[in-house]
Amino acid sequence: MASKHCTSRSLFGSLLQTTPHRSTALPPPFLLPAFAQSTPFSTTSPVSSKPTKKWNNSTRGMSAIKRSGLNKRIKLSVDLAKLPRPVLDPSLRSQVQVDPNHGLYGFFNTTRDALMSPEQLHAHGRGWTVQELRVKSWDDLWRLWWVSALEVNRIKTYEQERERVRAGYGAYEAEGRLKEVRSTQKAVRHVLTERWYAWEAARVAAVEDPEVDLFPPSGGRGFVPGRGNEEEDVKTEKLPFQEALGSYQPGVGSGQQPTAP
Amino acid sequence: MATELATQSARAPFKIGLKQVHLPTFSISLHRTPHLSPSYAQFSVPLWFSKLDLRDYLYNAYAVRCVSIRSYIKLQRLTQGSPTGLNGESNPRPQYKRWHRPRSLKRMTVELESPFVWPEELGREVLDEKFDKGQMERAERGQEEMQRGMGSDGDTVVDETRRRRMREQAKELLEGRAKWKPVGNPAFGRVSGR
Repeated sequence: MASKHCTSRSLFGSLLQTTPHRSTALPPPFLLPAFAQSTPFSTTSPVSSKPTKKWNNSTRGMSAIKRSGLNKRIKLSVDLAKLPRPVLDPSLRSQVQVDPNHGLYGFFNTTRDALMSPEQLHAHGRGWTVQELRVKSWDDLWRLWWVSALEVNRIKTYEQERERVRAGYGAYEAEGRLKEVRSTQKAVRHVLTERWYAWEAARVAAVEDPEVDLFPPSGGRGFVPGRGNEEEDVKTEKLPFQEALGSYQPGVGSGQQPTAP
Repeated sequence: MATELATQSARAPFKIGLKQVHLPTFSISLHRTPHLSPSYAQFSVPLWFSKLDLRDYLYNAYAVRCVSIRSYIKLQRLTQGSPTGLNGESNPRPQYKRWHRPRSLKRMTVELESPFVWPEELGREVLDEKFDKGQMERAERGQEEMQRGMGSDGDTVVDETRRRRMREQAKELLEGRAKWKPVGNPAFGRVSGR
Protein backbone atom coordinates (compact mmCIF):
# COMPACT_ATOMS: atom_id res chain seq x y z
CA MET A 1 0.00 0.00 0.00
CA ALA A 2 1.43 3.38 -1.01
CA SER A 3 2.20 5.59 1.93
CA LYS A 4 0.89 9.06 1.73
CA HIS A 5 3.18 11.98 2.69
CA CYS A 6 1.60 13.90 5.53
CA THR A 7 1.91 17.46 4.17
CA SER A 8 -0.25 20.25 5.55
CA ARG A 9 -2.26 20.36 2.34
CA SER A 10 -3.14 16.73 2.51
CA LEU A 11 -4.08 17.13 6.17
CA PHE A 12 -6.26 20.19 5.44
CA GLY A 13 -7.77 18.38 2.54
CA SER A 14 -8.61 15.46 4.75
CA LEU A 15 -10.09 17.85 7.35
CA LEU A 16 -12.28 19.58 4.75
CA GLN A 17 -13.40 16.28 3.40
CA THR A 18 -14.34 15.01 6.82
CA THR A 19 -17.26 17.47 7.34
CA PRO A 20 -19.58 16.57 10.20
CA HIS A 21 -22.10 14.39 8.46
CA ARG A 22 -24.61 12.04 9.77
CA SER A 23 -23.06 9.22 7.83
CA THR A 24 -19.50 10.17 8.62
CA ALA A 25 -18.75 10.60 12.25
CA LEU A 26 -15.94 12.77 13.74
CA PRO A 27 -12.72 11.03 14.38
CA PRO A 28 -12.35 9.66 17.84
CA PRO A 29 -11.13 12.30 20.35
CA PHE A 30 -7.86 10.50 21.04
CA LEU A 31 -6.96 10.99 17.37
CA LEU A 32 -7.81 14.74 17.24
CA PRO A 33 -4.32 15.94 18.24
CA ALA A 34 -2.88 14.16 15.25
CA PHE A 35 -5.20 16.11 12.91
CA ALA A 36 -4.72 19.47 14.63
CA GLN A 37 -0.97 19.48 14.22
CA SER A 38 0.57 20.67 10.98
CA THR A 39 3.86 18.81 10.81
CA PRO A 40 5.35 18.86 7.36
CA PHE A 41 7.63 16.07 6.38
CA SER A 42 10.45 18.51 5.61
CA THR A 43 12.20 20.06 8.56
CA THR A 44 12.91 23.31 6.71
CA SER A 45 10.11 25.87 6.66
CA PRO A 46 8.60 26.39 3.20
CA VAL A 47 8.26 30.19 3.50
CA SER A 48 11.45 31.75 4.91
CA SER A 49 12.19 35.42 5.53
CA LYS A 50 15.15 35.47 3.12
CA PRO A 51 14.51 34.60 -0.57
CA THR A 52 16.66 31.71 -1.77
CA LYS A 53 19.39 32.61 -4.26
CA LYS A 54 18.98 31.12 -7.71
CA TRP A 55 22.21 29.39 -8.58
CA ASN A 56 21.13 28.91 -12.18
CA ASN A 57 23.44 29.68 -15.11
CA SER A 58 22.41 33.09 -16.56
CA THR A 59 23.60 32.08 -20.04
CA ARG A 60 21.72 28.80 -20.05
CA GLY A 61 20.30 28.03 -23.49
CA MET A 62 22.20 30.85 -25.17
CA SER A 63 24.14 29.67 -28.23
CA ALA A 64 25.77 31.60 -31.03
CA ILE A 65 26.02 28.44 -33.12
CA LYS A 66 22.34 27.54 -32.74
CA ARG A 67 21.23 31.18 -33.12
CA SER A 68 19.13 31.08 -29.97
CA GLY A 69 19.22 34.82 -29.30
CA LEU A 70 19.79 36.51 -25.96
CA ASN A 71 18.28 35.55 -22.62
CA LYS A 72 15.86 38.00 -20.99
CA ARG A 73 18.15 38.72 -18.07
CA ILE A 74 21.08 39.68 -20.31
CA LYS A 75 21.51 43.47 -20.45
CA LEU A 76 23.58 44.98 -23.26
CA SER A 77 25.15 48.43 -23.30
CA VAL A 78 23.90 48.89 -26.88
CA ASP A 79 20.28 48.72 -27.94
CA LEU A 80 19.88 45.92 -30.48
CA ALA A 81 17.56 48.02 -32.60
CA LYS A 82 20.17 50.78 -32.91
CA LEU A 83 23.04 48.57 -34.15
CA PRO A 84 24.77 49.89 -37.31
CA ARG A 85 23.75 48.06 -40.44
CA PRO A 86 26.21 47.16 -43.25
CA VAL A 87 25.90 49.12 -46.47
CA LEU A 88 25.48 46.38 -49.06
CA ASP A 89 25.50 48.66 -52.12
CA PRO A 90 29.17 49.48 -52.86
CA SER A 91 28.23 52.75 -54.62
CA LEU A 92 26.70 54.12 -51.40
CA ARG A 93 29.71 53.36 -49.25
CA SER A 94 31.92 56.26 -48.13
CA GLN A 95 35.21 56.60 -50.02
CA VAL A 96 38.42 55.84 -48.15
CA GLN A 97 40.68 58.88 -47.76
CA VAL A 98 44.11 57.72 -48.90
CA ASP A 99 47.14 59.75 -47.85
CA PRO A 100 48.61 61.22 -51.09
CA ASN A 101 52.10 60.59 -49.72
CA HIS A 102 51.42 56.98 -48.76
CA GLY A 103 54.54 54.84 -48.86
CA LEU A 104 52.88 52.09 -50.89
CA TYR A 105 52.68 54.44 -53.90
CA GLY A 106 56.36 53.55 -54.24
CA PHE A 107 55.15 50.34 -55.88
CA PHE A 108 53.64 52.38 -58.73
CA ASN A 109 55.04 54.73 -61.35
CA THR A 110 54.97 58.54 -61.06
CA THR A 111 51.56 58.79 -62.77
CA ARG A 112 50.24 56.05 -60.41
CA ASP A 113 48.70 53.88 -63.12
CA ALA A 114 47.04 50.57 -62.36
CA LEU A 115 49.04 49.02 -65.21
CA MET A 116 52.04 50.13 -67.29
CA SER A 117 51.44 49.79 -71.02
CA PRO A 118 54.10 48.19 -73.26
CA GLU A 119 55.02 51.67 -74.54
CA GLN A 120 55.55 52.95 -71.01
CA LEU A 121 57.61 49.90 -70.08
CA HIS A 122 59.73 50.19 -73.22
CA ALA A 123 60.54 53.86 -72.57
CA HIS A 124 63.81 53.29 -70.74
CA GLY A 125 67.48 53.87 -71.45
CA ARG A 126 70.43 51.58 -70.91
CA GLY A 127 71.80 50.64 -67.51
CA TRP A 128 74.88 52.21 -65.93
CA THR A 129 78.23 50.78 -67.07
CA VAL A 130 81.10 49.82 -64.81
CA GLN A 131 83.28 52.57 -66.34
CA GLU A 132 80.75 55.23 -65.40
CA LEU A 133 80.30 53.93 -61.86
CA ARG A 134 83.98 53.59 -60.97
CA VAL A 135 84.21 57.33 -60.22
CA LYS A 136 81.14 57.34 -57.95
CA SER A 137 81.27 57.47 -54.17
CA TRP A 138 79.86 54.79 -51.86
CA ASP A 139 76.84 56.99 -50.99
CA ASP A 140 75.94 57.46 -54.67
CA LEU A 141 76.36 53.78 -55.43
CA TRP A 142 74.28 52.80 -52.43
CA ARG A 143 71.49 55.17 -53.44
CA LEU A 144 71.57 53.87 -57.02
CA TRP A 145 71.30 50.30 -55.77
CA TRP A 146 68.16 51.11 -53.76
CA VAL A 147 66.59 53.07 -56.63
CA SER A 148 67.12 49.96 -58.78
CA ALA A 149 65.71 47.67 -56.07
CA LEU A 150 62.50 49.70 -55.81
CA GLU A 151 62.21 49.72 -59.61
CA VAL A 152 62.50 45.91 -59.65
CA ASN A 153 59.67 45.71 -57.10
CA ARG A 154 57.61 48.05 -59.29
CA ILE A 155 58.13 45.99 -62.44
CA LYS A 156 57.31 42.76 -60.60
CA THR A 157 54.12 44.31 -59.17
CA TYR A 158 52.96 45.41 -62.62
CA GLU A 159 53.88 42.06 -64.16
CA GLN A 160 51.86 40.19 -61.56
CA GLU A 161 48.85 42.51 -62.04
CA ARG A 162 49.02 42.25 -65.85
CA GLU A 163 48.99 38.44 -65.65
CA ARG A 164 46.09 38.45 -63.18
CA VAL A 165 43.97 40.69 -65.37
CA ARG A 166 45.16 38.93 -68.57
CA ALA A 167 45.59 42.38 -70.04
CA GLY A 168 47.56 41.35 -73.09
CA TYR A 169 51.06 42.11 -74.31
CA GLY A 170 53.79 43.61 -72.15
CA ALA A 171 55.82 40.65 -70.92
CA TYR A 172 58.64 41.20 -73.41
CA GLU A 173 58.94 44.92 -72.61
CA ALA A 174 58.89 44.29 -68.87
CA GLU A 175 61.60 41.67 -69.23
CA GLY A 176 63.80 44.11 -71.17
CA ARG A 177 63.30 46.84 -68.56
CA LEU A 178 64.10 44.44 -65.73
CA LYS A 179 67.24 43.32 -67.54
CA GLU A 180 68.58 46.90 -67.70
CA VAL A 181 67.84 47.56 -64.05
CA ARG A 182 69.54 44.36 -62.98
CA SER A 183 72.57 45.17 -65.13
CA THR A 184 72.88 48.47 -63.22
CA GLN A 185 72.81 46.58 -59.93
CA LYS A 186 75.41 44.14 -61.23
CA ALA A 187 77.68 47.02 -62.29
CA VAL A 188 77.38 48.61 -58.83
CA ARG A 189 78.35 45.33 -57.18
CA HIS A 190 81.21 44.91 -59.68
CA VAL A 191 82.66 48.33 -58.82
CA LEU A 192 82.36 47.71 -55.08
CA THR A 193 84.05 44.33 -55.44
CA GLU A 194 86.90 45.90 -57.45
CA ARG A 195 87.36 48.49 -54.71
CA TRP A 196 87.45 45.82 -52.05
CA TYR A 197 90.09 43.81 -53.90
CA ALA A 198 92.21 46.96 -54.28
CA TRP A 199 91.86 47.65 -50.57
CA GLU A 200 92.69 44.04 -49.66
CA ALA A 201 95.80 44.04 -51.90
CA ALA A 202 96.92 47.33 -50.33
CA ARG A 203 96.39 45.94 -46.84
CA VAL A 204 98.44 42.81 -47.59
CA ALA A 205 101.23 44.95 -49.07
CA ALA A 206 101.12 47.31 -46.08
CA VAL A 207 101.82 44.48 -43.67
CA GLU A 208 105.26 43.99 -45.29
CA ASP A 209 105.91 47.66 -46.07
CA PRO A 210 107.99 49.38 -43.32
CA GLU A 211 106.86 52.84 -44.42
CA VAL A 212 103.25 52.03 -43.52
CA ASP A 213 102.17 51.85 -39.91
CA LEU A 214 98.95 49.81 -39.74
CA PHE A 215 98.42 50.64 -36.07
CA PRO A 216 99.47 54.28 -35.71
CA PRO A 217 99.11 55.99 -32.35
CA SER A 218 96.20 58.40 -31.96
CA GLY A 219 97.01 61.57 -33.82
CA GLY A 220 99.80 59.82 -35.74
CA ARG A 221 99.99 59.12 -39.46
CA GLY A 222 99.64 55.69 -41.03
CA PHE A 223 102.11 56.47 -43.82
CA VAL A 224 105.47 57.64 -42.58
CA PRO A 225 107.83 58.01 -45.56
CA GLY A 226 111.39 56.98 -44.77
CA ARG A 227 110.36 55.08 -41.63
CA GLY A 228 112.32 51.95 -42.57
CA ASN A 229 115.60 53.85 -43.20
CA GLU A 230 115.88 55.19 -39.63
CA GLU A 231 116.64 51.74 -38.19
CA GLU A 232 120.25 51.71 -39.67
CA ASP A 233 121.34 54.74 -37.60
CA VAL A 234 119.79 53.60 -34.36
CA LYS A 235 122.42 52.90 -31.67
CA THR A 236 121.99 49.77 -29.61
CA GLU A 237 122.15 50.22 -25.87
CA LYS A 238 125.19 48.60 -24.24
CA LEU A 239 124.69 46.18 -21.44
CA PRO A 240 126.70 46.72 -18.15
CA PHE A 241 129.24 43.89 -18.75
CA GLN A 242 129.91 45.16 -22.27
CA GLU A 243 130.75 48.60 -20.88
CA ALA A 244 133.20 47.04 -18.39
CA LEU A 245 134.96 45.06 -21.12
CA GLY A 246 135.45 48.15 -23.19
CA SER A 247 136.74 47.39 -26.69
CA TYR A 248 137.49 43.73 -25.87
CA GLN A 249 135.40 41.35 -27.94
CA PRO A 250 135.30 37.72 -26.80
CA GLY A 251 135.80 35.10 -29.49
CA VAL A 252 137.69 37.44 -31.84
CA GLY A 253 141.24 36.22 -32.07
CA SER A 254 143.60 39.05 -33.09
CA GLY A 255 146.86 37.40 -32.02
CA GLN A 256 147.39 39.90 -29.23
CA GLN A 257 147.64 38.64 -25.66
CA PRO A 258 145.21 40.17 -23.26
CA THR A 259 146.94 42.69 -21.08
CA ALA A 260 146.73 42.36 -17.37
CA PRO A 261 144.25 44.79 -15.77
CA MET B 1 76.90 53.77 -37.27
CA ALA B 2 75.91 53.29 -33.66
CA THR B 3 74.40 56.76 -33.44
CA GLU B 4 72.49 56.22 -36.70
CA LEU B 5 71.04 52.99 -35.37
CA ALA B 6 70.14 54.70 -32.12
CA THR B 7 68.21 57.49 -33.85
CA GLN B 8 66.53 54.96 -36.15
CA SER B 9 65.39 52.80 -33.25
CA ALA B 10 64.15 55.85 -31.37
CA ARG B 11 61.83 56.76 -34.26
CA ALA B 12 60.66 53.28 -35.30
CA PRO B 13 57.49 51.84 -33.75
CA PHE B 14 59.30 48.53 -33.20
CA LYS B 15 62.72 47.37 -32.07
CA ILE B 16 65.23 47.75 -34.92
CA GLY B 17 67.51 44.79 -35.49
CA LEU B 18 71.28 45.05 -35.31
CA LYS B 19 72.02 43.30 -38.62
CA GLN B 20 72.37 45.80 -41.45
CA VAL B 21 71.66 44.73 -45.04
CA HIS B 22 73.10 47.33 -47.40
CA LEU B 23 72.58 45.75 -50.82
CA PRO B 24 69.57 43.41 -50.83
CA THR B 25 69.11 41.22 -53.89
CA PHE B 26 65.54 40.02 -53.25
CA SER B 27 62.31 41.66 -54.45
CA ILE B 28 58.71 41.83 -53.20
CA SER B 29 55.54 42.65 -55.13
CA LEU B 30 52.23 44.18 -54.04
CA HIS B 31 48.94 42.43 -54.87
CA ARG B 32 45.55 43.95 -55.56
CA THR B 33 43.15 42.64 -52.88
CA PRO B 34 39.60 43.92 -53.41
CA HIS B 35 38.27 41.21 -51.08
CA LEU B 36 40.20 42.72 -48.17
CA SER B 37 39.54 46.08 -46.52
CA PRO B 38 41.76 49.07 -47.48
CA SER B 39 43.60 48.65 -44.18
CA TYR B 40 45.22 45.50 -45.52
CA ALA B 41 47.90 44.98 -48.17
CA GLN B 42 49.20 41.67 -49.46
CA PHE B 43 52.72 41.01 -50.72
CA SER B 44 54.55 38.17 -52.47
CA VAL B 45 57.81 37.70 -50.60
CA PRO B 46 60.78 35.29 -50.85
CA LEU B 47 60.24 31.92 -49.21
CA TRP B 48 62.91 32.58 -46.55
CA PHE B 49 61.35 35.91 -45.53
CA SER B 50 59.94 36.39 -42.04
CA LYS B 51 57.29 38.78 -40.72
CA LEU B 52 59.97 40.76 -38.93
CA ASP B 53 61.94 41.11 -42.17
CA LEU B 54 58.89 42.44 -44.02
CA ARG B 55 58.02 44.91 -41.29
CA ASP B 56 61.58 46.22 -41.27
CA TYR B 57 61.75 46.36 -45.10
CA LEU B 58 58.47 48.25 -45.46
CA TYR B 59 59.44 50.73 -42.76
CA ASN B 60 62.93 51.46 -44.11
CA ALA B 61 62.33 51.28 -47.88
CA TYR B 62 58.76 52.59 -48.18
CA ALA B 63 58.08 54.37 -44.85
CA VAL B 64 55.01 52.16 -44.34
CA ARG B 65 54.02 51.32 -40.77
CA CYS B 66 52.42 47.97 -39.99
CA VAL B 67 50.13 46.99 -37.16
CA SER B 68 50.20 43.22 -37.72
CA ILE B 69 51.38 40.74 -40.33
CA ARG B 70 50.22 37.24 -41.19
CA SER B 71 51.96 34.92 -43.60
CA TYR B 72 50.78 32.04 -45.78
CA ILE B 73 52.76 29.55 -47.85
CA LYS B 74 51.05 28.51 -51.06
CA LEU B 75 52.03 25.02 -52.17
CA GLN B 76 52.42 24.65 -55.94
CA ARG B 77 50.87 21.78 -57.84
CA LEU B 78 52.95 19.03 -59.47
CA THR B 79 53.98 19.82 -63.01
CA GLN B 80 55.66 18.01 -65.85
CA GLY B 81 58.44 20.21 -67.00
CA SER B 82 62.04 21.10 -66.48
CA PRO B 83 62.43 22.96 -63.18
CA THR B 84 64.52 25.67 -64.85
CA GLY B 85 64.18 26.78 -68.44
CA LEU B 86 67.00 26.62 -70.97
CA ASN B 87 69.05 29.82 -71.38
CA GLY B 88 67.09 31.42 -68.53
CA GLU B 89 63.70 31.42 -70.28
CA SER B 90 60.85 32.52 -68.06
CA ASN B 91 58.25 29.85 -68.99
CA PRO B 92 59.92 26.48 -69.46
CA ARG B 93 58.22 24.08 -71.84
CA PRO B 94 56.45 21.02 -70.42
CA GLN B 95 58.47 17.79 -70.60
CA TYR B 96 56.94 14.36 -70.45
CA LYS B 97 57.43 12.45 -67.18
CA ARG B 98 59.71 15.03 -65.54
CA TRP B 99 57.39 15.42 -62.59
CA HIS B 100 58.36 17.88 -59.91
CA ARG B 101 56.78 20.29 -57.50
CA PRO B 102 57.92 23.88 -58.10
CA ARG B 103 59.03 26.02 -55.18
CA SER B 104 56.22 27.20 -52.90
CA LEU B 105 55.14 30.81 -52.83
CA LYS B 106 54.95 32.90 -49.67
CA ARG B 107 52.34 35.62 -49.26
CA MET B 108 52.12 38.06 -46.39
CA THR B 109 49.07 40.14 -45.47
CA VAL B 110 49.91 43.33 -43.63
CA GLU B 111 47.55 45.46 -41.56
CA LEU B 112 48.42 49.09 -42.28
CA GLU B 113 48.24 52.05 -39.93
CA SER B 114 47.05 54.23 -42.81
CA PRO B 115 44.64 52.73 -45.40
CA PHE B 116 45.62 52.29 -49.04
CA VAL B 117 43.45 51.82 -52.12
CA TRP B 118 44.84 50.59 -55.46
CA PRO B 119 44.37 52.78 -58.53
CA GLU B 120 41.22 51.96 -60.49
CA GLU B 121 41.32 49.05 -62.91
CA LEU B 122 41.55 49.81 -66.63
CA GLY B 123 38.49 49.22 -68.80
CA ARG B 124 38.26 46.85 -71.75
CA GLU B 125 38.67 49.66 -74.30
CA VAL B 126 41.90 50.87 -72.73
CA LEU B 127 43.25 47.31 -72.61
CA ASP B 128 42.38 46.76 -76.27
CA GLU B 129 44.05 50.01 -77.23
CA LYS B 130 47.21 49.86 -75.09
CA PHE B 131 47.78 46.14 -74.54
CA ASP B 132 46.06 44.78 -77.67
CA LYS B 133 44.03 42.37 -75.56
CA GLY B 134 41.76 41.38 -78.44
CA GLN B 135 44.67 40.37 -80.63
CA MET B 136 46.23 38.34 -77.80
CA GLU B 137 42.94 36.49 -77.18
CA ARG B 138 42.64 35.63 -80.88
CA ALA B 139 46.24 34.42 -80.95
CA GLU B 140 45.64 32.26 -77.87
CA ARG B 141 42.50 30.73 -79.37
CA GLY B 142 44.31 29.99 -82.63
CA GLN B 143 47.12 28.31 -80.73
CA GLU B 144 44.65 26.23 -78.75
CA GLU B 145 42.96 24.97 -81.92
CA MET B 146 46.29 24.16 -83.52
CA GLN B 147 47.40 22.21 -80.46
CA ARG B 148 44.12 20.28 -80.42
CA GLY B 149 44.71 19.28 -84.02
CA MET B 150 48.23 18.09 -83.19
CA GLY B 151 47.09 16.02 -80.20
CA SER B 152 46.37 12.27 -80.02
CA ASP B 153 42.77 12.64 -81.26
CA GLY B 154 43.70 15.33 -83.76
CA ASP B 155 42.01 13.45 -86.60
CA THR B 156 38.61 13.98 -84.94
CA VAL B 157 38.97 17.76 -85.20
CA VAL B 158 36.73 19.19 -87.91
CA ASP B 159 37.26 22.61 -89.49
CA GLU B 160 33.69 23.85 -89.95
CA THR B 161 34.84 27.00 -91.75
CA ARG B 162 36.66 25.01 -94.41
CA ARG B 163 33.65 22.75 -94.89
CA ARG B 164 31.33 25.70 -95.35
CA ARG B 165 33.67 27.39 -97.83
CA MET B 166 34.03 24.17 -99.85
CA ARG B 167 30.23 23.81 -99.94
CA GLU B 168 29.93 27.41 -101.18
CA GLN B 169 32.62 26.90 -103.83
CA ALA B 170 30.97 23.70 -105.08
CA LYS B 171 27.64 25.52 -105.33
CA GLU B 172 29.26 28.35 -107.30
CA LEU B 173 30.87 25.90 -109.74
CA LEU B 174 27.66 23.92 -110.26
CA GLU B 175 25.62 27.06 -110.83
CA GLY B 176 28.21 28.33 -113.29
CA ARG B 177 29.03 31.50 -111.34
CA ALA B 178 32.71 30.49 -111.11
CA LYS B 179 34.98 28.62 -113.55
CA TRP B 180 37.32 25.89 -112.36
CA LYS B 181 41.02 26.62 -112.76
CA PRO B 182 43.91 24.28 -111.95
CA VAL B 183 45.61 25.40 -108.77
CA GLY B 184 49.34 24.79 -108.84
CA ASN B 185 52.57 26.26 -107.68
CA PRO B 186 53.84 28.65 -110.36
CA ALA B 187 57.39 27.79 -109.33
CA PHE B 188 56.99 24.31 -110.80
CA GLY B 189 56.04 25.64 -114.19
CA ARG B 190 52.84 25.30 -116.19
CA VAL B 191 50.87 22.07 -116.14
CA SER B 192 51.28 20.59 -119.59
CA GLY B 193 48.50 18.89 -121.55
CA ARG B 194 45.26 19.87 -119.86
